[in-house]
Amino acid sequence: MMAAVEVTDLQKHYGAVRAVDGITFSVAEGEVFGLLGHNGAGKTTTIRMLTGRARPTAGTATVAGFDIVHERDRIKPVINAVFEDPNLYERFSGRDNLRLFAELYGAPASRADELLETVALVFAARRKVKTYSSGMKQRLLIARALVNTPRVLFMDEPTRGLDPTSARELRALIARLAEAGTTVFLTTHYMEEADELCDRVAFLSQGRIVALDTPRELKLKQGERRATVLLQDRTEQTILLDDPADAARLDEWMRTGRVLTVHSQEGTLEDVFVALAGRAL
Amino acid sequence: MIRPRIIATLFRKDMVDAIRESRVLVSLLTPIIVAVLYNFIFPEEKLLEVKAAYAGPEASAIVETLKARAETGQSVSLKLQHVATADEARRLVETKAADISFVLPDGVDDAIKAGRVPTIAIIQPELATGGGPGFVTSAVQAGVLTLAGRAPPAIITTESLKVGSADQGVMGQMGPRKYFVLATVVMMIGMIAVLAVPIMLTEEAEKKTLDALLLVGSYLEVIVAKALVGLAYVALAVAVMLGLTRLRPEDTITFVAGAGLLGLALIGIGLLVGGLFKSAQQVYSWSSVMLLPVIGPAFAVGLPVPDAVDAALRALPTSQGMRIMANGLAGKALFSDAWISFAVVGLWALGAYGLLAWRLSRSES
Repeated sequence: MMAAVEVTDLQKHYGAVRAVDGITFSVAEGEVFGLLGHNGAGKTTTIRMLTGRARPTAGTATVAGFDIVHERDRIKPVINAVFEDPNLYERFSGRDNLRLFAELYGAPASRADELLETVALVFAARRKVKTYSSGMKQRLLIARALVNTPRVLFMDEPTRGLDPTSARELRALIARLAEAGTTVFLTTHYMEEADELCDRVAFLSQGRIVALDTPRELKLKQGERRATVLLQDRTEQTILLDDPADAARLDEWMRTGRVLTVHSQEGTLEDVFVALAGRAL
Repeated sequence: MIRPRIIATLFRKDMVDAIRESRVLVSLLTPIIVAVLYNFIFPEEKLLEVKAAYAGPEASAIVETLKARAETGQSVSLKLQHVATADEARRLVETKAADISFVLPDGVDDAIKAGRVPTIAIIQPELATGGGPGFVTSAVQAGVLTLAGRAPPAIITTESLKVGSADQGVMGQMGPRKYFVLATVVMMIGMIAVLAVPIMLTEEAEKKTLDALLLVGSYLEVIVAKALVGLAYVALAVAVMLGLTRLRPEDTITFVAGAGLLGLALIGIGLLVGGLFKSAQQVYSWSSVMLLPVIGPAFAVGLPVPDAVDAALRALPTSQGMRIMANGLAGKALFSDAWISFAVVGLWALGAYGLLAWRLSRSES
């Protein structure tokens, strides 16, 4: 299968600052790929290069099979992006925002109404965007990003600043997009979000990728395999799953009926990131 | 690559969206208000206004003579009304709706030519004042003489001077009303170009909507669309201003060429300026500093200024644009060497768009 995004030794320097310092990865079609890192780690610069907004200093990359430097104009129709900021035309209605971009992409005006239904904003279609809540704006941003039915969708911190309910709705929407075959390239600060949504994640630190794998594998590789056992006498015991002595203790408790509950304590992506990058997000 | 569809879509969006932005609206409305104000403050250049009515044959040569005399003179504004009956002509004078009226009998032209001595009645107030009734009476007499095949023994012209006006420069030739309204037209072009257009551009960058546009279009397409919106606003605003102030360019082609070229040059400068600011509010805050060198020269063109100042003014696009438009408005060469004016404004336009192209190439790399 052709990679939706193929990046080889990509670099972007601003003077002496190496914002992106030689990253290499590929994203398969239909995959949800997460790029995680601190502020200034190079996430947004990477997205800017992949969406044709900045020229790389060195290295190569293709998006949907097109070179990001020499075929920028061919990339534009097949990608779209949801930005960190709610960059909508606030004096326009939600529908007019979508119609504007439908026209820019050469899509029919009816696409706006379809998308308003997709993101459940039909009830506010005629209202000016400046009256929308943060969650509504974020849904409208996603609708706008779908106006050209992109093959690759870039999302920069899509749930930042949203209340838990809106964030959950948005994650469900992203999951549906991925199921429908859209490749999603995501940056986020929220490890739980990446864990829930992403097929694979890459950790970016100081412009370099320090780890890249599925969330489960990263947690297994880096996290400690432990469990907390609550016994009948209400005492908690922590056991290491790799330790034969602890295995024997657990076996004994099970046979004698002393175990009330067992909670696995696999590492989180946050733990993995701290271990690799040296500090939390 | 420039795609007309993208530019047309952005153009339509900006035409609607920009005037919803209060600062852009202010930049459009302020000069119009100032122009209308000047229009009321300064008197009409035609100092003698005459309201006349007449009854009788509408196409008489006498009436044509009267109209021709009013049009050839620079000092008379004649409002001539044809009425159905002599009673109506009398009533208009009685009610002061007309300064003077006259009644032509049917077939008056043929009767005079045939030497039948028809009667032409002139009706005027008992205590007629001003030169209006006198002007009409003498014009009617001249018309009668012409019909009778007799040339007037002499042609008497009347020049009405505003006493105390010593200015014989361009303002004197154009009249203060035209001069200041024209300067305000230039002011409006300046405000649209270096205030409204940069606000439009900076707001896109500030609110990051530019990022969304650049996913589908190029920076060049965005810039071209903004420039076209600026030019469209210039065209609309100038037309509205001329309509409100009842100014009609005698040489429309020169006037439109001057306004268009000046608008193009200043919009180029405005787009460059827009790139220097991070927010629309910054543009607005610094607008007075930016507008002074752009608008100021328009109000000094043709006035007696020291040679050094005059030389500096000649290097600026606004003053040269004002010269071209003044020539177009007057329909004659109030300022000589019009090609120099076109060249100076054209060079400013080339410089501005050249720098813009250079900056665009850097921003997309």
